[in-house]
Amino acid sequence: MDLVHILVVGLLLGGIYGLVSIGLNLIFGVIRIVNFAHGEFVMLAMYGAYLCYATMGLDPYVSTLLVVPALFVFGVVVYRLVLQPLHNESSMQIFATFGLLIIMQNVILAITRGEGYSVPSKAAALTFGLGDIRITTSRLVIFLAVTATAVALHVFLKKTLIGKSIRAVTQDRQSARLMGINVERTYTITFGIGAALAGLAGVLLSPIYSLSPGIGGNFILAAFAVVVLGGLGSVAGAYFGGMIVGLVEALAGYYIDPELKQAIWFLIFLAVLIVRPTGLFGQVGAEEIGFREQG
Amino acid sequence: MSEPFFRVHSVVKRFGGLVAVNEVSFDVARGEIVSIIGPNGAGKTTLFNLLTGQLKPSAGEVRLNGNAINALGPDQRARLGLGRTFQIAKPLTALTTLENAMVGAFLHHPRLADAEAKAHEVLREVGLDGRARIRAAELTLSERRRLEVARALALEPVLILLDEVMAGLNQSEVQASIDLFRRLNAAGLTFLIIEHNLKVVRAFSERVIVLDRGAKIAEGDAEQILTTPEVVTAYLGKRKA
Amino acid sequence: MSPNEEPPLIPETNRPAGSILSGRRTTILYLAGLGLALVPFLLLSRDLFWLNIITYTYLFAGLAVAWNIIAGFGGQFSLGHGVFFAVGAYTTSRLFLTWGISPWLGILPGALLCAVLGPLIFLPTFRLKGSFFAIATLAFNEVAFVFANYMESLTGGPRGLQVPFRAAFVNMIFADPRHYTGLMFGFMAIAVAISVVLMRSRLGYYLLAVREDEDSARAAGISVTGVKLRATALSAGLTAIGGGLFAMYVRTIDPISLFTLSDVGVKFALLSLIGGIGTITGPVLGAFLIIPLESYLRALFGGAGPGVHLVLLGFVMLLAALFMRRGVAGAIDAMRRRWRHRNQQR
Repeated sequence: MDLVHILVVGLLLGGIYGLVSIGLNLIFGVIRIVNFAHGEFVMLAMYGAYLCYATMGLDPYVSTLLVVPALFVFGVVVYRLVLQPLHNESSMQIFATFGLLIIMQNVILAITRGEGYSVPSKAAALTFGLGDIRITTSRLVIFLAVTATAVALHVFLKKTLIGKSIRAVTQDRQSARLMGINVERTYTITFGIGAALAGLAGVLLSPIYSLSPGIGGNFILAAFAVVVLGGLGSVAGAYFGGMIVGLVEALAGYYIDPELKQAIWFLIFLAVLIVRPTGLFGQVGAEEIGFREQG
Repeated sequence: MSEPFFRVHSVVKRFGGLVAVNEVSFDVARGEIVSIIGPNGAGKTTLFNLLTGQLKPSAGEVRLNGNAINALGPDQRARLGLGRTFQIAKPLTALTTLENAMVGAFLHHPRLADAEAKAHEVLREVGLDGRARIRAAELTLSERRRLEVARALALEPVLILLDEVMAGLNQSEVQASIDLFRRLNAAGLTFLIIEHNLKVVRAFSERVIVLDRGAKIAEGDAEQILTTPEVVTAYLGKRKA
Repeated sequence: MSPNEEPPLIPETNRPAGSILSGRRTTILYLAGLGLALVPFLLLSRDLFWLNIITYTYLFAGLAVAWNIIAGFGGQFSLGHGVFFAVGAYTTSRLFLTWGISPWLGILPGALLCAVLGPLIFLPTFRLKGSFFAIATLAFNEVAFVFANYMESLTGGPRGLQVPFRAAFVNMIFADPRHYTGLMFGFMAIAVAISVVLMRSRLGYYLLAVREDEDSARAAGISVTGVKLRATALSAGLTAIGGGLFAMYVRTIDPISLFTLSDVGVKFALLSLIGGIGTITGPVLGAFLIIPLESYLRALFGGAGPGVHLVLLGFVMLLAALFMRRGVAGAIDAMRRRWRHRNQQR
């Protein structure tokens, strides 16, 4: 395995992490909510893709059209019922979302009775070569998807009215409210979008991973690492943060020890948290303001 | 000549390109009552934070009792005898009034019973002993202010810095506070106060220092200073009654 | 929301409103509380199933009390206490297995190690607010998990360590399960005693002050970092001891059982939440409610399929977070205050 190969693996992996994290980043950055159940949204979407396959024979890339809006709705519901009442109480959010995590994981576990599933996709199984490196379509799709999503999200936030409301609310809730922006609705929509993005990740990941109820756990801490590394609320941060985490994991896995992969990038994540908590692209001071500031 | 009790020497504070405090110097003698006044944005709060240790000066020196305290944090300064109140009174709401005072008292009275006794003492001093068992969250504004003072007193300070401690109080509350401070001053406590209420400044200061746009523009006897044209212009732009 | 009303990270706590109890009254209350806690043990000591639950209840009560020291009183919401738990478990087991050191002594090195390690790893993260701090501690948990799996020579890797059953008092291995129950009861009693003594000491008051408002605390001459570090050392060391006792009870420990958050790290927090964060009795109440409930749910629904009882537990967590932020102790205290207020008004 030469360096180029490792870098490619790392970038593709980074695409996965980025896609999973981009929704979390939005939620975290805008609403300042710690959603520990974000990985479970991804998991839910994966099972949703399986469901579409099992009942309607849909290829996961098609069932995206069904699953992603469904996750948006689910996100809105979760936000309204659970998170909106707990605004400003971060420790309770941690409990509430952890409770959600346990519920979601175990509901799926109870329903599927622990059977493993996989979602086949004709398109996904294709591989092609880049030089003498083989790349599977599914991973490439993810890489493209995260890039496209990052760009689309960036444009959305910059140009559309909703996007601008989101940015306004992120910067200064009070002022946004004073200017007539319905803050709560903005938050709800943001959370929905975040959930939908998690859904997108889940569907696109379903051809790659074999499904298990606990798979969300693989992603959630990685997602937090990406979000912290990249910086709160920064789309570019989630994107490049994901790449970096993926690269570090690939490099560490090869040069240090594959078994220590996860520890390595966690240590980096900790180092970032400690040295530059705002991440690479975030606003300085955001982490110290934490969740107390906005009235 | 022996060094003055509290010396602020050419203190400067820069935030990037902005000079918030520009070479301010003054001394405070032991037992004095000195007020710092100035229009909004004059740099009073920044100066105050430099004196309490929440900010470190970009240049210049602050000395208390012959010790340079520039590099010391707020807790170290408190231990050296510098007490302070906060503009927005922040009692520890989970605790009772008594326990709030005890937090200050523990500094020099590490044992529970001693701290409790000292806390009662300072509460009596500020007239809050009757409310000792009430949870601090239930105190009125003027009571919270007095609790702030009590907590600072419990540290057995030699110098006390008050930050707009009269804001929001009514006439009788203001008078009660002034009486309290006079009592404490007579007992030897040195006062350095930031105050907006010029009546209070006149009633309760020996010396006044005027800041404007980060610099000291006047210093002197209270009555005299308040009628100096520069001060009046800087402050209000209109003549006071 | 005005600057005056910053929402607290930990819900406003519940302290016995008004009085600082005298030393004697405190001791009496403490002993009475212990006596009350002993009742389930005395009643159900013949039933092995319940005995096991009671043993776990006492252990986790002590662990929740330990967690509460830095998290409830100190306001540093840690989800990483599983690390201390695990270090204690591994240290005690390792010292016993390799050098035959009696666990009665063996729990101490783990405790000391954590008393040093805890402040060391928490110190750089103290300035992180609220959830960031929680996430950082989660990260510690994950890193420790990976290392526990990796350092096979020390921890036995994924398979973990097994302590053979050689019953002897000096080995802290008992043939009679009731002795374990007694052991855990002792641990809980000591943890609560430490908690009580702490909150009647300068450090305890300083800890509360730091939690409420760091600036005010500094203005009162408190070294904020020093206080947090000392409380962390105490909390971590105590947790490690609990871990050591756990190891000698189950006699088989592995990374999964030690680091799974919902079983360990988050559970300490959950017990405190339900019972009342930031109170002395809260964590104990929480343990007495949740541990039996969890076992009961598992027994009741275990047959229905994997995970069903956990779904219910998840709902408990969710509902508690939404509706019971002050916990049981808080609810009791609020009632007491209302009653006293009503009396005062007469």
